[in-house]
Amino acid sequence: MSTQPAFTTSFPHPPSSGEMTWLGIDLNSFASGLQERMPDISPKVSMTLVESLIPLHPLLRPAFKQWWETGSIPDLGEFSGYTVNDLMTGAKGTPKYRPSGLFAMLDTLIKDPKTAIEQMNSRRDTIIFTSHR
Amino acid sequence: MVIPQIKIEGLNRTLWAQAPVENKQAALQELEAVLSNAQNRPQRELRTFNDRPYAGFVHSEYPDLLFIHDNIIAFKAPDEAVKTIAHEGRHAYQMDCIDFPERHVDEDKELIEQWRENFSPGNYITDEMSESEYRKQPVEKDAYSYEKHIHKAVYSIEKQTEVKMNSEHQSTSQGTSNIKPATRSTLGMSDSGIIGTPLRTRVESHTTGTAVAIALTEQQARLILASEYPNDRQAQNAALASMKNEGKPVEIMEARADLDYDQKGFYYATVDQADQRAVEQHVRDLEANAKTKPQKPSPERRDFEHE
Repeated sequence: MSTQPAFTTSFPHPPSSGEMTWLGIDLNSFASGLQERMPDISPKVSMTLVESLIPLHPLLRPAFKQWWETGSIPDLGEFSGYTVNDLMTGAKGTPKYRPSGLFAMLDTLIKDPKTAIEQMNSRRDTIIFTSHR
Repeated sequence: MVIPQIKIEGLNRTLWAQAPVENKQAALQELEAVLSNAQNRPQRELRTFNDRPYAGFVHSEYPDLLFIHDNIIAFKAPDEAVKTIAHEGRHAYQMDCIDFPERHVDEDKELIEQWRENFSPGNYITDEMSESEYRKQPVEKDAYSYEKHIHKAVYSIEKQTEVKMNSEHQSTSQGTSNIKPATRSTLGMSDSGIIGTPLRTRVESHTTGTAVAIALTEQQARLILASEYPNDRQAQNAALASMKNEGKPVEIMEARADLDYDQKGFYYATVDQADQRAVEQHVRDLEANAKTKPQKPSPERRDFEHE
């Protein structure tokens, strides 16, 4: 894990849950911790991803906590035919999801498999930045 | 958002299906020429790639280029390629607005500021970080919206010049002014579909000829997709979703068909009038087969799009 400068941005407002902690983690620490684990994202994106993870399905929360604390993600079985390994390696033609994207996709697979599969199959693009714009 | 008039012969679906790669690339370059001109930005040169899992991309080190995946160009239908070029071209426009605002004085300043912020280091969300947040961020939301408009502009259809029932059924209206909107009750359809009921059609005048939109039940649409993606339930579901969002080109009995959905609960297969009877018969055959042979789901899926 790389060392990052102090995380200076804080949540401007409590997320929709009204809680400032999630899984026992203070949301600002959560956002700064996520940025430490994904050093290429900005504080703003880190907060966006944290907010998107707060409604994570209860089934997935222990696995998320395990990843947060140990860096490893347990095998959770299959969700509509996809395993954690499939989604992280892109073995079934999906993107190679990073942990934030992986948990978000598992959450969608549980709550709305049709949308999840639609998202995984849809056309996508990217913007590659190698220099400061 | 300026949507230009687009008439590019090489993007005609029939021509595209038989065209060599060089002709397809030339047609797409022509599209980029039209779009860049409408967007008042320099035209970019198209380059293909096959080593990244994306349909297309723009690269900050190559401000004169747009990148599109080989597979997208190889598809028998041009739709995905058109959308990709429009999409990447829109990113080129967004960057041009940031770097050369004097060329885009009519563009919404607040929007340009959102794009600038989104393109700042660490602020672009990739699909690997979050599928839903990737699509929601300002530059992607705008580019997906733009590609949809351009796709419509390229393949615009003069809507519903006639609504009629095919085969033994009679015409319900003549001309555009008396069109009676189809409803579930007038068509006598149910969610489960009805075998043996004549399919109904509406005739549309395309810029390239006459097409017939055959109304389908959801079950009939699903059967078509099941034959398009045999033993691949996930691909079938994805295609159904795509059909609802933006239309889905498929092949039925070697005939080109565009499947779409009209928000009133009806599905349509738009085919050349010459192929109408063969396609209708094929749908009935599929229904007859489905009665005796239910499809087996399979976890397998295909990469990218179908060919």
